[in-house]
Formats: sequence, structure tokens, C-alpha cells
Amino acid sequence: MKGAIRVKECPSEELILRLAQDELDESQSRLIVEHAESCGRCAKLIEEYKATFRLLATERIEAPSPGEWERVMGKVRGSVTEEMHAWPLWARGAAAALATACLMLVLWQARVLMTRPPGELSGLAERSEEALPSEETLFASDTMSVNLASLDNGQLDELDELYAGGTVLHGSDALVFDLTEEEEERLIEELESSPST
Amino acid sequence: MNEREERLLKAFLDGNEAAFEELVKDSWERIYRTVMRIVRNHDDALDVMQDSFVKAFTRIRSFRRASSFATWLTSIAVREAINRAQRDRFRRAVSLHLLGKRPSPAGANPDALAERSAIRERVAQAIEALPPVQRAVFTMRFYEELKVREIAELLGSSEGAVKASYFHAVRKLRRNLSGLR
Ligand SMILES: [Zn+2]
Repeated sequence: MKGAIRVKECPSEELILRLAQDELDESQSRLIVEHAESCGRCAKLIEEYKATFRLLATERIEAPSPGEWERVMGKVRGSVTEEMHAWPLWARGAAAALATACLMLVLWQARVLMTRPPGELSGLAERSEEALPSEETLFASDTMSVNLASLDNGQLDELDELYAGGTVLHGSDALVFDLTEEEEERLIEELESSPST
Repeated sequence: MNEREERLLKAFLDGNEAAFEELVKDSWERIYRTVMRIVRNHDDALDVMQDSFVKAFTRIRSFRRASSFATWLTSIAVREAINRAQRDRFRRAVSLHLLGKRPSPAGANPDALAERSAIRERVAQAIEALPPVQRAVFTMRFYEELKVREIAELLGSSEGAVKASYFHAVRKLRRNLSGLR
């Protein structure tokens, strides 16, 4: 009877996923398949996973051409040679400090549109002079302080590029910092579902 | 390390720089595919390849030979690709919002647009919507068919974390792709 009880319970989604990917051994698969015969929910889930894998398997990536590889390797050779004649450490430190100072100046003057997920807007919103548009997750502020010390080199580079290059910025500059994975997903979901103008 | 890698590595360490290219060449196509699936853009992928090769070149003396050279190089490239994708994530959110919400990645170019069918486009978008680490794990597991243990090793992560990432990724992909068949 024990077996019968187990078959009545819905298997975990992870097991269903592995079944759809042919990763379970026969006895495990059989139990789930038997269960799915009398459980519409699991049957549907199995079908959905199988269909998902079929769709995903259609994605093809084309390899770069020999000419492109040659260009990449050419640049690698160049960088490696450059690396060998790199500036001494103290000079690099000085250059970094200078870059940071410039960045602060730019930030001081920048009009910044800062994005945060809705739940965490309150404190920041109070400092914004503009009223928050009701369905927007973004808000604008003319001044903002960024703790540059908290940014890693990658973020500093990115900031630098963002301001120096004036990329994608239409009137407002937008930054999203330090979002957790869940926050990021929520934010992107909201942005995607917000009505187009 | 196989014999060929061993021989090329020795030649390189003895000062033969051309040997490095041979070493890299063996795996660059496979690594490119993985990197491309993580960063989702050809030019960025080539950039990541270039940066990874430079890193490998300059750090080769710290290569411990616990794994093959190809695995070591893959590990550098995958981490580099994830960093790149993470750095770009706020730009992605920005462009989604400021550039007409949900732009098609092919942009306004009608030729490029025609190249990707509606279904391919949806599949690409679903993959692009994954957070970088999940995308990397999914790519290595699903497309490159690596074992969980191998992925954990490449990412310097635990097998449990890799399994969880893979599960979350596939669940999201199913949700995003349901209704598309
Ligand atoms: Zn069930």
C-alpha cells in the first residue's frame, strides 16, 4: 500500500523537470508517469517542461569567422605586450584617484534618475522634488549622493562610461545599483509590463 | 592535462608565445558558445574572449594543473562573462525603460528583425531575462551538457547552489515560454 500512497502524492517540480529531461531512472519515471495519468496538474507540467526543452534546444550559436578570431588574437598580442610595459603601481594609483575625482564632479552636476523597486522607494522618494508617477517604479532627483567607495571597479567603469559616453540617456540618467537577484527580476518585470508610450 | 596540453604549456613557459595560441585554439569555439549564451551579444562575447585570453596569458604561472588547461580557461571566461552580464544588467533595465520599453534586441534594422522568427525571438528573450548566474548555469548544463560537479568547479560554487540555480532558471523559462507552442 505504501507504493500506492506515494503515487497519489504529486512529485516535486524538480523531479518533474528531471523526468522531462530524461534524467530519472526507469522506476522513478514510472512512478511519476503513473501518477500523471490521474493528475491533470502534473501531466500538464510534464508536457510544459518537455515543450520548453524542445523550444530551448532550437537556439543555435554561430561560431566567429577565422578573420574574427585573428582580430581577437591580434588584440590579445597587443594587450600582452602593453601589459609588459605597464605603468608602475604608484602611477596607476594616482591615475585612479584622478579618475575618481573627475567622476565625483560629473556626478555632482548630473541629473539622476535612480531606479529602485517600489518597496524601497519611500526614503529616497522623500528627497525627490518630483511627485512619483503612480505606476512608475522610477523617480527623478536633481541631486544624489553615491558612495563611490562602495562601488567596485566594474561599477566605477560603468559609471564612467555612462557619463562620459552619454549612452542611452534621454534627458535623464538612470542608474540601478546593488539590486539583489529578486529585486532585479521584480524591477525588470515591472519595467516590461509598464505601458509603452 | 593531456599530453598535447602538457607539451604546449611547456613550450609556452619556455618562451614560445605561439604555443599559447595553439593551447587556446583547441577550446575557443566551445568557450565562445558558452560565453555568447551568457552575454547574448556577439561583440561582447568576442570582447570577453579577448579579456579572458589576456588574463590566462598573464596568469598562466598560477595555473595549478589540477584541471586541464581548457577547463581553467573556460573557468576564467565564464566568470568574465558573468561579470560582464552583471555589469550590463542595469543598462538593460535602463534601456528597457527609456528606449521604448520592450525593444526587440534586433533594434530597428528590418533585415535583422526578419532574421529572427517570432518563436526564436521569444526563446531568446526568455533566456535573456534570466539573471546572469542562472543563465550561465543553465547554458553549461543544458547546452554544453556539463555535470553539476563540473559547473560547480568552474564557478567556484557548491553543487547545491548549481542545482538550485538550474532549477530556478528552468522554471522561469517554462513560465516565460508557456503558451508558445
Ligand atoms: Zn500530481
